[in-house]
Amino acid sequence: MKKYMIYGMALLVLIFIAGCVASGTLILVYDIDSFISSSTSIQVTEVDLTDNSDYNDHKDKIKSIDQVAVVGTLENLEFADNQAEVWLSDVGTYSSPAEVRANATIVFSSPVILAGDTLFIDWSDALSYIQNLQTLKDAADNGHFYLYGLAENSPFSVRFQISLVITMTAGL
Amino acid sequence: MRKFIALIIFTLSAGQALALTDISIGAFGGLNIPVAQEDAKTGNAFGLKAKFSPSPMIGGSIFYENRAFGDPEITVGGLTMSIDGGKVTSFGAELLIGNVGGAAGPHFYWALGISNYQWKRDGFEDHTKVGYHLGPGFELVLPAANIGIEGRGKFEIVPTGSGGSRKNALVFVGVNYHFGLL
Repeated sequence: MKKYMIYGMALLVLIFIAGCVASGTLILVYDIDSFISSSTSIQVTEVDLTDNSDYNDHKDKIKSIDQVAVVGTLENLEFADNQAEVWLSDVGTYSSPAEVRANATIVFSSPVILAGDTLFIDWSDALSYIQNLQTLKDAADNGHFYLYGLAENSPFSVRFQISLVITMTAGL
Repeated sequence: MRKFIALIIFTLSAGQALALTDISIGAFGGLNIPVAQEDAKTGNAFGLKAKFSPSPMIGGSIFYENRAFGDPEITVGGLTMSIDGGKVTSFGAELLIGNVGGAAGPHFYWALGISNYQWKRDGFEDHTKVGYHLGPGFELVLPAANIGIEGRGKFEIVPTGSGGSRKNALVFVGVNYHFGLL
């Protein structure tokens, strides 16, 4: 009886250890090259997460995308206060703010940036500026999408120096 | 010296010899250690529990734990940033197998449990799931004092529902009061 109890315990331990090594939660930082987007010349940036080695190592074993945040520095280059926005689409050919607003999904909206001022978005603050999180999660799960830099009011000109911070659970 | 050692061994063996039922309550504290989770760091943990041992080999307990995770950090563009690690409340029940009586002396046992696990942190949706845990425990019940000093380890798995899971290792040290042997 005692022997079977020990075997049972050992089996449970193995099951728990197997569960332990089966998955883990990772944080990926995907840096986006600095760009300036304006109302007359909107800028789109292609995000291919397979460029990130950590993502690439786990892309076939992703269990869930747990959180996505946009961190970095935003600079309002115009003479009026404005709010920077990041829009997401799987199409990278939109050429006007109206076209982006009609077809893409807003995923980030900053607080007001004073005219000519710079705003730094910290990781902890960034979570509260995310919009349509599920769309962003789905895009991160897919691994390839486009981000457009806009602002709430026109005319605008904003320098985006941002990174995506992606928290995901994946098989190890 | 030999008599002293013999006395110690006899005292520590008393728990093995006296196989009686017991009820106890206890408080404990320790560490909450995330396993394979880059988005959480080690934090502290406190808890309360009540244990009932109808037999010297099998018992059960209910518990409540209040835990915290440390704030995880990342470095972006040379700047280090962090987010809230959050707090966990967990209450549940567990089956105890081994030497779980309340008699004086050493008691070694295994615990297998289930709990309601709720993790709250700023910027994240609440994570409320059922957790499962397994781990060993050791308690030294002091003779004639009804007090036990206990050390425990728990390995916890909380399935996320998407095929993944959150895993934590917990290490506790606590004090139990034994109401007596029924």
